[in-house]
Amino acid sequence: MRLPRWIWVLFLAVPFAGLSQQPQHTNTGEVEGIVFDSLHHYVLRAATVAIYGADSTRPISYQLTNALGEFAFKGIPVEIPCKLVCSYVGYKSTIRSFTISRQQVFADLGTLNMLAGPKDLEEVVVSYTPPVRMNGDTLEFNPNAFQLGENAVVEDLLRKLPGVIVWGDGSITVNGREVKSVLVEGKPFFGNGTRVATPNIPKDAVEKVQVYQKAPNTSNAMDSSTEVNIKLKDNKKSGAFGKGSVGYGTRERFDLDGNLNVFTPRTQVTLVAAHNNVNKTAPDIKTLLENSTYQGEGASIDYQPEFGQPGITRPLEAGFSLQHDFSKTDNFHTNRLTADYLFNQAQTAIATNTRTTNALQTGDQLIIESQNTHALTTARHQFSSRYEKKDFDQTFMILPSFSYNNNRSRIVSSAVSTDHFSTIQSQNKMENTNDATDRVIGISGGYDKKKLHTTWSFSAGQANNGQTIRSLFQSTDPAKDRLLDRNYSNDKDYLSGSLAFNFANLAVIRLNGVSLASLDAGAEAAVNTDKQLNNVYDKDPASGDPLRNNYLSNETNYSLLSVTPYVRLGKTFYKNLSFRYSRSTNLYVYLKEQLAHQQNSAGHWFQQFHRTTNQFIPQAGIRHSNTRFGKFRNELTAGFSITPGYASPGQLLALADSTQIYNMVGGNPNLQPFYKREIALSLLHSSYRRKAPFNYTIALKGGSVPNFIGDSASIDKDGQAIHYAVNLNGYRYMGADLMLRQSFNFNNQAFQVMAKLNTELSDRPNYLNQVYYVSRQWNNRAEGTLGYYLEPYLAVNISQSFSWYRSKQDQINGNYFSNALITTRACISAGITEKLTLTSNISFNNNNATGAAKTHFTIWNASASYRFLKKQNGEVRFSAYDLLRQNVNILNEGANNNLTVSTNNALRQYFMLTLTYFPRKFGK
Amino acid sequence: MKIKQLLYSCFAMVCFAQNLPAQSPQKIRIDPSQGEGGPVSAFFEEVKYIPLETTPQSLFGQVSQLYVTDGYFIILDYDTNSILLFTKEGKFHCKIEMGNIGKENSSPIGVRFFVVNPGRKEFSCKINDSKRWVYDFDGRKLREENVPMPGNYYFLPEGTTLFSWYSLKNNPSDSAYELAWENKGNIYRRELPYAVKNAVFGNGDIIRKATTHFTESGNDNIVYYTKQYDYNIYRLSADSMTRPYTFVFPLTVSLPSDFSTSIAYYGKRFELLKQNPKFIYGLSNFFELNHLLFFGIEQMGWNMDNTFIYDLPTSTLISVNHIDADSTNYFLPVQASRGFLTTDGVHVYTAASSLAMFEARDAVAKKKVKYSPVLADYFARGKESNNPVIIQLKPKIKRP
Repeated sequence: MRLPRWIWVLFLAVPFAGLSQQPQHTNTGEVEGIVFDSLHHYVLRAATVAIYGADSTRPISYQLTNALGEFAFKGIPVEIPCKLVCSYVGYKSTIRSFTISRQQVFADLGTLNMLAGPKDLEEVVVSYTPPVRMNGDTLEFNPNAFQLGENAVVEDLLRKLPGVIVWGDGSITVNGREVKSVLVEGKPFFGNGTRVATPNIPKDAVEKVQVYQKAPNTSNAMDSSTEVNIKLKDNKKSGAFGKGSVGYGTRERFDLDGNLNVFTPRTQVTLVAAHNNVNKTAPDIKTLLENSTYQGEGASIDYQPEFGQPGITRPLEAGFSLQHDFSKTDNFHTNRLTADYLFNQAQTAIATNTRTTNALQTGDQLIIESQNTHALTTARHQFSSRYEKKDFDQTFMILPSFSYNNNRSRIVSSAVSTDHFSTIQSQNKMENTNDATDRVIGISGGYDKKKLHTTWSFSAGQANNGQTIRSLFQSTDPAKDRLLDRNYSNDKDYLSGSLAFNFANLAVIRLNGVSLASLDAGAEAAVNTDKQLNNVYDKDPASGDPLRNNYLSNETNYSLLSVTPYVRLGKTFYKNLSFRYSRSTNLYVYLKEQLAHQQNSAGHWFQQFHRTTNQFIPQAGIRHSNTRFGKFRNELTAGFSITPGYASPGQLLALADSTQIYNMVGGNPNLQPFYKREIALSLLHSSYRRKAPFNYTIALKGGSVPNFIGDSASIDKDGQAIHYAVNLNGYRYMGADLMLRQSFNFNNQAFQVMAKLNTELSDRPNYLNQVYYVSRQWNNRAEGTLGYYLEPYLAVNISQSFSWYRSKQDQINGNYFSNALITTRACISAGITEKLTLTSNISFNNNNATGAAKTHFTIWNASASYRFLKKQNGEVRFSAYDLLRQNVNILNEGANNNLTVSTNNALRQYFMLTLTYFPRKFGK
Repeated sequence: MKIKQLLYSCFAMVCFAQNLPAQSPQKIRIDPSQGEGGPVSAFFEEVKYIPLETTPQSLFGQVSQLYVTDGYFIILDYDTNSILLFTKEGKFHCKIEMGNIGKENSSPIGVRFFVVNPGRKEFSCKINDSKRWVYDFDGRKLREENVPMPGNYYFLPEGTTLFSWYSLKNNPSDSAYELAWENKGNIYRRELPYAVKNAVFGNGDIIRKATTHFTESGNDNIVYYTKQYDYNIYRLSADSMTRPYTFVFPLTVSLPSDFSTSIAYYGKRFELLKQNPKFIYGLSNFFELNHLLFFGIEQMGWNMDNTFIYDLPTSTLISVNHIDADSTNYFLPVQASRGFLTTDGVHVYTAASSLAMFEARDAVAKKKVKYSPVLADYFARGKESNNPVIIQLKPKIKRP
């Protein structure tokens, strides 16, 4: 079926015909008329009709004409001279003055004739610009026609547009459909996504905002995705913007960050730098950019990472980003280079109190409590780049990258193990200094042409680690006491490579002339090598001389090679009823055979092995979509898969190190591969309703893993533990994810509801002191968020989250562990004046874990910011963090027969004064 | 290979270097962007809406092809791959479900067209390269026939069958002409010769088009023929081929003059059309009623002005998109996405979805339109998911 593109235009345009901008006055006048092309004798549909006050260039109200060329306004001021302006692409605008009398409250303007013309009258263009218009199949908004603040940005404009929702999490939907990307001049603007362009680009730089369908699906208009493009004014296509910020506060807290972004029609360059001691660390340039926008943070409650992070971190970051188009970009051609580099240096100091409760099979519990101080210095260089050349039927891309990481740490810990009568069984003091460096260079790429799809990657890495551990272990049995002073030198070289290719629609399988299935074929190959040289020396207690530790010193050379040829059989059924529904069902089966070879050569005989496995790993599934025209789209996927997994070199080759007295880990070279069997099902519901769209996602999964690599632990009464990875049967799991959201918009108010639920129940088999047991674990997390926005004055966000964990080990003692964390958060941002904004957020946290005292703490932050300078480029902000001085950092972690509750030092109360300047120059 | 040949012939008929009859066609010089409009009552004496009965048995998707006989609407629906017959009042008569016929190559479209033999009150559709099934107007399968030639066909009176066929790869002697006239197994005329195995066209130069290129004229003795990359209209009868009209468009939307002859476009035509979506690459659904020409233009890009009426005496171009609904047609739609579908010599026909009908009704709810009993019943008892509605329009003919 071929559905005309005017249908989706109808879906875009209708809300604007029906949901015209509401007048700002409480008035009762009505105006009607018809827009007509008298030369060609027809009415103009979707022409823009806007009503202005006689002395104003801001529309009181506006509409697009209907299919009969008619317009009808209500709520127009009476006894006030007004102008009605009709505009249409390719026509000269028409202006009609009128005044509605209080007695009649109605004005029929009759037929308004418009003349086609090459260009609008200059004075009309300057004075009255149509707020919205249809230009072919694109809906265009003119920012000048909307009542916005002098320094408004594109996001402020989007919030004004009927049918457009800017969600609390930053995502944007148009008539219920999510906007995947916001382009500027048809290209990504400082990275993909929506969070850089909209809060930075001033409305003054924007000629129009275009909403259209990307690559419309001709068989079903509702099937295509919606894209937003910001078209800049001709003299604003180059520019620069950024941020420079200096903050200093009590307790010597400081926060410096800056970025400068320069763009031309072909090139975009970003320079960033940040330095602080308030735990603000960005993993990449994109994060830095997205969180330092001209518009500011608003009422976001997600960007408060510094108080949830353990310890105090002092990061220094700097980097650049580049995007350059070598030729003009359009739907069929791309010739683009992007590159990112980020240097990150950080110093972190963490003080941790940890309590780990181990359930023993005797019914007893062993409790290990420790105090650690951890000083960490990291230095990281990350570079990634991508070159993509796309023509009509082929795409070529190459992605070079490198990274360098250096971590230097010093950990001092003191641990005590007690039985459940609180009797001390042992204690261990340890000092661990470590200097580890890791360098990786990689390159990957892909090439697609017609039926052929290929990807490949290669990376080579080198890691060096120098480590010294001094430990003193004391037990109730003095014979077990020991003092160790051990030096390590580990050098590792590793390589990984992969190659995959797929030929789509290679053949059609027929029976009696009827097509049964289409056949794809391809193969995936992967190789991983890991070569390690470990030299370990123990200081002789008597002489102080280093003695080579012949057990821990060794050389290993591990490799894993896998080749997976496959054929894919697929069959798609379509059922289409024009203008009513479109359904498609795709059935597919992957017939895969994986041949794998693992081997290791080592100085220790027990680490040497080589094995070849051959396993049939099929996949099968169904994908079903059901689009009800103008109502909703459901996408259902269900599948079964067998996924192989191989033991890591660490699980295979680790040598038990007696310095890790409470947590020694030994290798098991006999580990066999495991094959995860999983059934997964998901349903995505996208509403096309124009009012209060309701979307949800449901995902269910369940599976089992024969030969699961589990843990076999031996723990003595002192708490000394050694763990080996072993193959075990009995691992199974099931889980569910649910996400839903709905928005209600009324004029300049929006009410948003979002909810997420995640739950997983699993049985994990393990051994404890030669006793097989299954740990039944249940993890749950639920979060609900309510948002209320009254533009531009008020934004309120309230969320409630609940995390709950429980584990039970029947075969050991039947006891269970549980913990729960309940957090209520609220954030309010109020624009007191155009320049003054008050923001406050508060979170109430309740933590309850087995064996630990209940913890309640509240974090309350507040800030006041004032914008100054003509374009409000300057901002002074006073912030008060953790006003109640209650912040603590608590981590709960459950695993098998133990539960760990950690309490870390964290940022505490401070006050900060921040000065920020936003350099902004759009155009020459 | 045969299937591919059939596809080629069905998708497109491309040709060049014809030996045309020595008749000078009338040039119709138009700019599609300058079509005029007006109220529906200015162009049509009567607009009649015929809702098609909706039952579980008669439910179908779209009117992909329409033929109007004295008693029935014969409708091909690509969505359900079925041929349905409704009475002229819209009552469901019968349905022929074609199953997977035509979808052997995973094509989303099954049967691409049917051909009516009005003299025998039969219609037929091809089930493969060499066979067709023949049905009567009650949906009964009468017989299976061998098709003497591949490609499209059309029945003229007194046993004459027209064939159109174009092959890129093979060189069967019978197919060296795009058109052939056959009667009682005897091919007695050929037209539109082309050089096979030439290097002018590649596979990628053929634009897929599902329907037949023959359009009935309302006169059983005459059929019109159009093809891609050609702005000519061919009028065919049992013993003649004429070229009554050739269209001339503005340079900005016209194909290059050597588009169908130059090797420079080998394998690049499709890409060039995608890059120039306003280029008109062909004409469609042409028929002539007295002084009015009805036709569509084909472009890659989106253009709502794609169906036209041309008034020969006044050289006036009317864009059907700009024919505005008025009270004489209850402010309901007058154009469907496929343009005008057929003519019976007096009326032209198109169809609208029930969704479009209900939306149009809702848009003018304030006007309190008084509908005809048929439409009132349709709106009262029907819903947006009902079967499409046939629109029968009677053009205003200027009497000399």
